[in-house]
Formats: sequence, C-alpha cells, structure tokens
Amino acid sequence: MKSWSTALLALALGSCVSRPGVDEGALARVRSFSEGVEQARLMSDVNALVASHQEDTPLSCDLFEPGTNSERRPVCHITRERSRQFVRARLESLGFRVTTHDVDDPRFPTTNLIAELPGTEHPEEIVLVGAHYDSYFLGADDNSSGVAALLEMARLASGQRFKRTVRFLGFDLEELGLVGSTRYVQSRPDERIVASLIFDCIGYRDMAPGSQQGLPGFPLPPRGDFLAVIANEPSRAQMEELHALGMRLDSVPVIGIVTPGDGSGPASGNLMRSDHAPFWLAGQNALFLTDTANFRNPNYHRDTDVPATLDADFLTRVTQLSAAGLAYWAEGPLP
Amino acid sequence: MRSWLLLAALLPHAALASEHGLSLGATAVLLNNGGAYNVTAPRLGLEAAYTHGLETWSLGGGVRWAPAGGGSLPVEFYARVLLSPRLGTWRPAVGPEVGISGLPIIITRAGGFPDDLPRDQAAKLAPVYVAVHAQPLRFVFRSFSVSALELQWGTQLNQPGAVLRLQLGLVHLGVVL
Repeated sequence: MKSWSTALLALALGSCVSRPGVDEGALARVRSFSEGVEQARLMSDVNALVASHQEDTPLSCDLFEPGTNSERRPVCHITRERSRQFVRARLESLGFRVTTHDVDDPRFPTTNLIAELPGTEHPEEIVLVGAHYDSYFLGADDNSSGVAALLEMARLASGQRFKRTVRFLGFDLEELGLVGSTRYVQSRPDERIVASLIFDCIGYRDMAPGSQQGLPGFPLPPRGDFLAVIANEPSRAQMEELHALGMRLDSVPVIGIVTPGDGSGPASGNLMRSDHAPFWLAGQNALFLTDTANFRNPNYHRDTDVPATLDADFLTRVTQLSAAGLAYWAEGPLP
Repeated sequence: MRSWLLLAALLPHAALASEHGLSLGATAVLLNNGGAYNVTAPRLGLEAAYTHGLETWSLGGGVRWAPAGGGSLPVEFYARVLLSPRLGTWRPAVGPEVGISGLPIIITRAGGFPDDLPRDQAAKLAPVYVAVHAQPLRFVFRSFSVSALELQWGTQLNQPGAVLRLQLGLVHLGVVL
C-alpha cells in the first residue's frame, strides 16, 4: 500500500515539473549572487521584525463583528505599523528610495512599501519580490521570515545593475484578506511582470516523518523539509526554472505545484491563500513560495510562532534560491 | 421526401404524447467560491418550473427565488432540456440547464473583513451559468409528480471552472396537465 501511494505521489509531483534547462552562462552569475546571502543577517532581521510586532499596538477588535476573533483568525492580535517602519528604514538604509502605495479606507487603510532598481535595458519589464509585513502575534514564520528574505535580497541587489527592473514590495494586511496586494494589483493593471516571488512563511522545517500534511487534493511528501513553489499555468515556466536552479545550486528540495488556468477554482483555495492570488486573478505572473504554513507548522497563527521555532539553515537556503531566481530573471547583476 | 413524410407522421404522435407540467418546490443553491477563501453558503429558496414533456425528453424553464441569498435581486431564471426515459411511474431525467442568476457568487467572509478581493473576483464573473441538472428520483402518479434530491452541478459561463455551482432540489411537487 505504501509503495502504491509513493508511486502515485511520484507520478503526481513528477507531472508538475518538466525539467527545463538553465542557461549555463547565467548559472555562475546567479550562483555568485545567491552565495551572498548571510544567515546571521536574516535571523537578525527576523528578530528585529518580531520585536517590532511585540512592541506594536494591535488593530482594534472593534473593527470586526463580535465573535470574529478565533484561534484560526486571531484578529485582535494583528500588528503592522512598527514592522512597516522597520522595513522602510532598512530599505532606505540600503540606499533605496522607498515610496508607498496608500489607499484610504474608513476601516482598513493600507500602505504598501515599494522600493525598486530600474532596469538598465528593459526598465518596463519587472521582476518582483513581495512579502506581507503584517502579522498575527509575533509572526516569526508568518511572515517575518518572508520579509527578512526580501530585505536580504534587497541588500544583495542594492547598488547593483540589472537589465530588468527589480521591485521589492511590502504588502499590508495580507492576513485580513490579501488587502494590500489586491489594491496594489488594481492600481497597476498593465505592468509587464516577467517573474515574481511572493514569500509567505518560509522559515519552518521539520524533518520528522509525518510532519508534513498534504494539501487537500495535492499529496505532499511526509517530511516537512521542502519548499513549496506554487504556480498557475501562466507562471509554470518560472516555477520550472526555479526548480531547475534549485537542482543545479544544490538548494533546498523544491516541490512544484501548478494549478490549472489562472489558478482560481473551488479545489485550489489553499493554493491562493497569499499575496500572489491577486496577481493570478489579474493574469499576472506570480510564484508563491512557502513552507506550507499550517500544513507543517503547528505554531501557525499562534503566540508560539517565535524565532526559536525557525530553521535558520532552511530560511537561508530558501533565500539563496530566491536570490538566484531574482538574478536569473532580472539578468544581473551586470559588471 | 421520405424524411418529410416520416416527420409528418411522427409530429401528430408527438403532439398527442406531449404533456405539460407545473411544479413547485424547495431548493438550496450552493455556490462554492473559487480562489483564496472558499465560502460555501447554502441558500434556501423556492422554485417554480414549467415542463413541456415529449416521449423521452422535455423542455422547460423556471424561476428560483432565494430571499436569504443576498443581492439586490436574489432570483434565477433558467431554461433546460432533459432526457427523460419513461420507466413506469419512475421518470428520472438529466440534461443541461442555462440560466441567469442574481445571487451573489463570491461570498465575503463573515466577521467584518475587508472585501477588496471578493469584490474584485465578483466583478470578473458574469451572471450567466451553465449546468447539468439531474432528477434521479422523479415519479409521476397519474396527474401528479414528485421529485426529490435533484442535483445540479455547474459553473459560470464566462469563466468555466472559476466557480463551482451546486444546487440541490430538496422536494418538488407538481401536476401533469
């Protein structure tokens, strides 16, 4: 029985990825870029972000209907102001001019942070790196890990030149329904996004057998030691390229999942639970990188989501792979 | 020429064998959101249908009214063609249905959450749907009909697969004229 399920799993996962080649000329360049990722900086940023959530004042419970606060959605414990200040300050300290995308709303105003390096040859073509900076409780994995990866990639990219525009985005209020990213996509409907990496929970690993739950309709290996890269059909090529880069760079194991069409559909709800979803619905390119959150991490949306539960090596290697993808798609850094 | 003769011979027979049916029933419409937040919300309602039945198939249409479904006009109008073999009193039927629905398709989560994404999704979905409708437990006793547990599976016409539509006909009582 076990061999049957293993065979079926291999068939299912194998069908997702078709192993494209990687441009050999680019490999040395992206390897060098990705090797600049520093674990100590990553974890320092995670700790700083967690501290900013801890010091912050949560959104008022009065914004929600009585009884909405629950174990799954602890809406009375969501913070974002101080983490936004931290991300902005870090990006500015790296030399970026940070702009904001603000939406006034009587109940839920949002502020997305934007920092970019204009492309030298194709400035209209964008490679995007995004992560939400709001969190429930301390949010070490969800999503300080993703924001720390973004900041580390921004550090590597700062002062460098790329053929395509590289844009870093800090999304607001993901936890309340992908609010910031939805508003961002609505405000820029005609952009040419060549590739985008959306981080949400990328720092938790558990090697124990049985630590990984499958997503409904999508079987997964039993050990929670891989990075899930989730694509819709228009993003399939980028998912395959990232998978191939991971193989060549001996990075973390990557499990690629492709949802049909634009990704929407009743069966794929769990695959659209982050800021990539508005991009998919708008026909834009987006990859969702995740440790699968509550399908692996028992601390998801709990006050136990603290830095000590993260796997620094896993987060570092995920960031390295992502940095490789960034360099590959943005075609840089140029000499 | 021969086919014309055949048709002429069959038409009176078809007319003789035809029947008209009216039914009223209770129904539940479930729309399963595609995308980030699946919200399955059964909406109970009433349904009135007309059927023009021939030998083994029928044409029909009707209206569903689901006042608890939200929306400014929580009504659906539909037309359908059903294959319906005559197996004594048991008259199961299955076939396609096309309709236009005023029920909100994308349902915002309860609790007062922002609805930017659901509104964005809803704006992309047209109100016209297509579905397969089945009446596995339909019986006709002389001039009366009863049907229970009708089942319908469908999706929006402009974005097939983006939203799953399920409709459960609880019980329908009718008369055959």
